[in-house]
Amino acid sequence: MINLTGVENKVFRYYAIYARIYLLPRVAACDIYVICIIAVYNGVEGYVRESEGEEDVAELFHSLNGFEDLEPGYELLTKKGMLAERPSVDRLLPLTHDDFQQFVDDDGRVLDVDLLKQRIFKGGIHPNLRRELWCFLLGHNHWNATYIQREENKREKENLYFTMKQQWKTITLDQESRFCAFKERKSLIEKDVSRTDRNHPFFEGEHNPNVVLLHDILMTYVMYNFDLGYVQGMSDLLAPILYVTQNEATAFWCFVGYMDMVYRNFDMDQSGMKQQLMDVHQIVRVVDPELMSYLEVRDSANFYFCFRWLLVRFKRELNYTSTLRLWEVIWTGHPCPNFHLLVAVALLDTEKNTIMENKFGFTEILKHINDISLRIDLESTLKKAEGIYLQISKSNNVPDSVRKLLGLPIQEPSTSHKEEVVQEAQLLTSDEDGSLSGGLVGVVSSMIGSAVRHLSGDDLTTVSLEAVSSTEQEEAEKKFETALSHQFV
Amino acid sequence: MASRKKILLKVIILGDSGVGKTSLMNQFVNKKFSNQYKATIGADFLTKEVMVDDRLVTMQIWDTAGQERFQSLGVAFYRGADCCVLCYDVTSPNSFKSLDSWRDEFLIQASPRDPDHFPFVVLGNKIDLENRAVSTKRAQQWCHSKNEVPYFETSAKEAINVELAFQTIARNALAQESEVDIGHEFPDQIKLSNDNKAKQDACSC
Repeated sequence: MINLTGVENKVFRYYAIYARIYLLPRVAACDIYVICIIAVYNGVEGYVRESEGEEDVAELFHSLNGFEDLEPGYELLTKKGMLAERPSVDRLLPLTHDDFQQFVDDDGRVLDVDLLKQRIFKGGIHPNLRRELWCFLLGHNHWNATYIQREENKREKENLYFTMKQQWKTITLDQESRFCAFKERKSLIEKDVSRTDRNHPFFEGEHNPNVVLLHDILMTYVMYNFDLGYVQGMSDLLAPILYVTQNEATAFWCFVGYMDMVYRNFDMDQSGMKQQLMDVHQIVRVVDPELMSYLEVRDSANFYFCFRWLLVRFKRELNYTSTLRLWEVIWTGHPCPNFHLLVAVALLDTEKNTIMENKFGFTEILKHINDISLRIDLESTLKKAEGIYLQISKSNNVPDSVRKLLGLPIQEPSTSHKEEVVQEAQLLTSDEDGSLSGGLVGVVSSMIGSAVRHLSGDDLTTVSLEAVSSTEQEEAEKKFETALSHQFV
Repeated sequence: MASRKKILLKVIILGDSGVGKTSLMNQFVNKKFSNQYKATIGADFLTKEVMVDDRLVTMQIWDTAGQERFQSLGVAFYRGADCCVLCYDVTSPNSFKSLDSWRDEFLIQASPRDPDHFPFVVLGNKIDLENRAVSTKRAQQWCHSKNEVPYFETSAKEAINVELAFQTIARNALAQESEVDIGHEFPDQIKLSNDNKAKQDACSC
């Protein structure tokens, strides 16, 4: 066993002192740099002397977790095991037709929507009831509509759909030649529908009419939302809906409802996806600091390997049956918003040992994550994800950013610590541009990284300390952002 | 000596959606073709060991999504590339026109040490189809204008020229890798400004 307290203290103390002194004025970066080298090198020396063998790596990562909460200037050390225990969770059988009847009055109105959604969350929907209930979950039908109103709604929306369908159907090839934006969208759709779920019986074989329907619905969606148009991944989201609803117009409107939930996945600048990757990062940091440290050390804290999971909501990872189940569970919005992020965290939790024991780096993690596709046990993943939610909701020390993500009430600022941070950050940003100060912290910490890399010549030490610096950097940047948003409030 | 160590060549395949990036990769690595490959989401890679002259090298071939808006995430995958394969579909003039922007984007995001001499290879795919729309001459001219980029016309479906193209890719990647190695013989210098900055920018979190 190695004791790293010395290293931690040294690195922290120097970092803290010098970051504090040098954050405000624009000093020559070299000064900080030299000082950091000395500070870190002293620490590294200590470690190199005391280190014995590889099994200490985990210990080392673990002991460095404390750095995650370093603020620019001060504060140290997370509290280990700060989350409540993760409860085990049971799931129910799928909601059947008989079950559903108990929620419906004589005219067809759904009475207790929230309770019904909870029930669906807990067990999903029996396949023969799906077509009806997906229309509710995806906003095609209103929960409080009567049978008659639903029929009317269906007719109206059908008309609207076929009107929009006529719009693109009547664009001639000649028009198309002067309508680039349309042509591009059309060409992308044609390419993608011909390779969407063609192994599934519903879409297989040449000249399959369902493939034509996929095409037509996506083209009509282009007319419905031309600005968003068609983006890869959308055909993956539509195919199961068409399969379940088995009706062109109904599938279209259900798809519209789904897109309303996930349209940020298809942002031109990908900011919605980047945000979600950052959200997963935030949650993993809270739920599993050990895994977080590991990923940071391995240059994998960008969570890009979750990209496909999130973009098409695990569609490529699960077989059809499980995809349908997962989606209806997520659509309920229970037990919290962004439950899909917890599904991702649960999957990472399941793969954690494989990743860490094999010492996977970014490339291997990506490969591994891509390879577990179709080998995921959905029910146990859902149990775990719900367990993580309950665990977070019962814990006191969860950062507001994560609480907000999961719709949990923001806690009163009981610790004066948080306010101090904000004040400090405000102080720092008052005469200097916030991003500049944040950037400087980043420069300092990445310099620590390169200094260590240069001086130690020891891979192990290098990676460990790099983790420290990148975490600090992110934390620091986050705090400044928080401070800035507080200012606007 | 450096020549004894295991060599890994990182190759990135870029090009518009549907030009056949995944198919080319699978034809080369698995000797298989399927017209049922799904649109690539995110990124994936396959590896294959090949002999270049008398050296055994491992090629790590990266396949990425072709739609423009997914490029902004490419940087995580482009890093450390030894060769970039630009693909277009000979039946699609637009996919040929995109080669410029794919090349530029790669150079910006991967920022190789010597962008003027970074090895690119261009593949004009789907020559098995009859409705060809980009002439060989036009493609060759483009490659000529970009510092003599090697050009191959391929069919992933019929396995035409795929092996040959990837041999060249491996050879050129290896040449690039060796140059980088020489650069590495000196201890890493500590750079205070630009490199660190670039590293920060690369992480979106």
